Amino acid sequence: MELLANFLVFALCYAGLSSLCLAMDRHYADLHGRGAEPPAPLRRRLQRAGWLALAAALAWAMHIAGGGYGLVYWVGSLTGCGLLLIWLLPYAPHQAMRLARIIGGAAVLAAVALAVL
Amino acid sequence: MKEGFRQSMAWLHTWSGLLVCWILLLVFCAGTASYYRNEITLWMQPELHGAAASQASTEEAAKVAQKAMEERATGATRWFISLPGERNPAMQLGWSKPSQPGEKKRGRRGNFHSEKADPATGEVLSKPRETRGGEFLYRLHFDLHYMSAIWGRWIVGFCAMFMFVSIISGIVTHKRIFKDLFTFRPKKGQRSWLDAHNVTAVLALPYHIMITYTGLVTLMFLYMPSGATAAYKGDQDAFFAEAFPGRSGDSKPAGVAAPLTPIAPLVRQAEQHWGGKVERISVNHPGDANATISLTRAGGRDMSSKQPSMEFDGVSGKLLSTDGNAQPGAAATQGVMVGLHVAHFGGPLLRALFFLSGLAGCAMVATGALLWAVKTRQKQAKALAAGKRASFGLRLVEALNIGAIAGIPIAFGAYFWANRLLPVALEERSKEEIACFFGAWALAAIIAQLRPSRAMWRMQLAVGAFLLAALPVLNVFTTNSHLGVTLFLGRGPAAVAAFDLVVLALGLGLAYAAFKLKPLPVKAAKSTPAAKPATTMEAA
Repeated sequence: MELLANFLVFALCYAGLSSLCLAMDRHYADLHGRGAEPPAPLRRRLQRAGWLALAAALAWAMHIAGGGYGLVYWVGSLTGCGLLLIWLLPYAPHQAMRLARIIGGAAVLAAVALAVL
Repeated sequence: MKEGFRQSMAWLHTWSGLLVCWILLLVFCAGTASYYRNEITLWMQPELHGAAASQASTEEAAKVAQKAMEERATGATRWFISLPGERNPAMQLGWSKPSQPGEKKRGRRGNFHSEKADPATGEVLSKPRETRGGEFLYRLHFDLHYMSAIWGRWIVGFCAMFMFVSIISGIVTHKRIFKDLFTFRPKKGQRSWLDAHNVTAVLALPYHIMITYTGLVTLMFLYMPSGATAAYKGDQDAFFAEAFPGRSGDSKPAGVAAPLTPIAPLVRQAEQHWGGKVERISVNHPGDANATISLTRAGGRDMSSKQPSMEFDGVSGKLLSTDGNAQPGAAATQGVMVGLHVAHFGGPLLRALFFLSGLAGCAMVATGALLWAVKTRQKQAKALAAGKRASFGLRLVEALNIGAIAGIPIAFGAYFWANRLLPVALEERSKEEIACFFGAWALAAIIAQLRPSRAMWRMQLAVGAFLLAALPVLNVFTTNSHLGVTLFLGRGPAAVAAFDLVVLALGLGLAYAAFKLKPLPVKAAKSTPAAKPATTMEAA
């Protein structure tokens, strides 16, 4: 249970960062070939989803760990997830984004599981 | 000012960073390791690995401790008991006897006795090998070594201030802080180093600012005493008494014998009051009618480094005072800052995140230092191609970089190897271990000065990689708590297994960096440190 609750923070952070990353021209081009730009609606959706995920991660971290801790925890997991994402991006961009989709889906499942249990 | 604001900031960033980066790297490495100083100390005392398995409750342990103290510490004026907790399996018993007349007032440690005891039986644990363990690394990161602590603290404080300047000017210099947030382009020489420097700096920026600032705050009374001196008219003792209210340690004994009340029920009472474990017990004048018992809560619940305590009458067991339930604002703020720095709060997960951010800090300092060398070499490329030699400054920095970035892992490795290989009964063993740390480091740094080349990078990284990655193997031959036992049989303490795995991972990272530095084909002898930044990120 605790494991799942902690996982949710990381999953939301990773998915959120990846989403924000994909909304940027350079990283979109990394995936879809040189010069490709995300269409405006997609970019907006990605950005909105990314910020939403990060905000949800912060709220959840504060919920499980308390205000002060939660903030520190959230910042720390942003650092950790960010480093992982940036490390994966140049070497395996597609895998990095596939991981983001999987982990985003897992986050939703985890959230549902935590709500039900 | 002729140059733009940003250029001057870039200049400031470069030089404030370069000037102190090698000491900063040591401080960052030792400080990052200090998050696990208890675990490192445990690893370095294999004699205690067995006791780490038994777990007694604090209440039972208090009972056992009191019995042991009454038998062994007769005539002592103070008792100090550290109960076992999550991160220290054994119980620490200490007591001081009255100082002889003529001795210095602040009691030499000569009449203080301390021993480790089994929390379940109270028996003295077989004396573990003498080592300073993680405590050495912790002290190293703000006291340095081979000099008085005050000098060390001034030097580290100076470097930390430069680091702070460097961080702020670095933020100003970094034009594309958000645009380049996720950008890392490997195999592009100088570009890659800059990317790696930016990524490790920006992603862990909140951590870097916090750790530098709170680091200065922990020692602010040393660096900036004027405020307190002015307000307290130079009476330092009065200031510290108010800023850090201690236990009433100076109460006089009545001279009338009276039995000490059982401590265990008081422990239960305090734990119910706090909803947290008791960690330290100190008893003033045990066996006297004026005895007092004070209990201090274990850290880990609040962010603050200050823990509340309760004081009881030692004979009747009546609660005399509680302290630290409500702190004045300034003291609470200072407590939280120090707490954030040392990160005793929070569970293993949060500490792991701090450790990771600390590693990012090491990488940031290391890549910054490398970046200067790579850039300067680029500037001198023409002269170098014409067969001229590198400038004195460039050569010096490149040699120092090898000595620090590749040398510090060697020093750490040598320290841990010495712990396992030096004879257990050696005189002044802990000093010898430290001598190995500095000896290995000095050797690495001097050899690097002789020939700062790509081959030297490769050689030193490989040595560091071997020393760290082979530690788990060394354990198999020198202890009974190697990975085979701790991990696969699931017996020994988890902290020891984790230590082995972390040094193994760090060693493999260094090995990868060394591997990436394979000799260049003769024609393409470009800049010296052309390893991929990603590898040094792990390596540092």
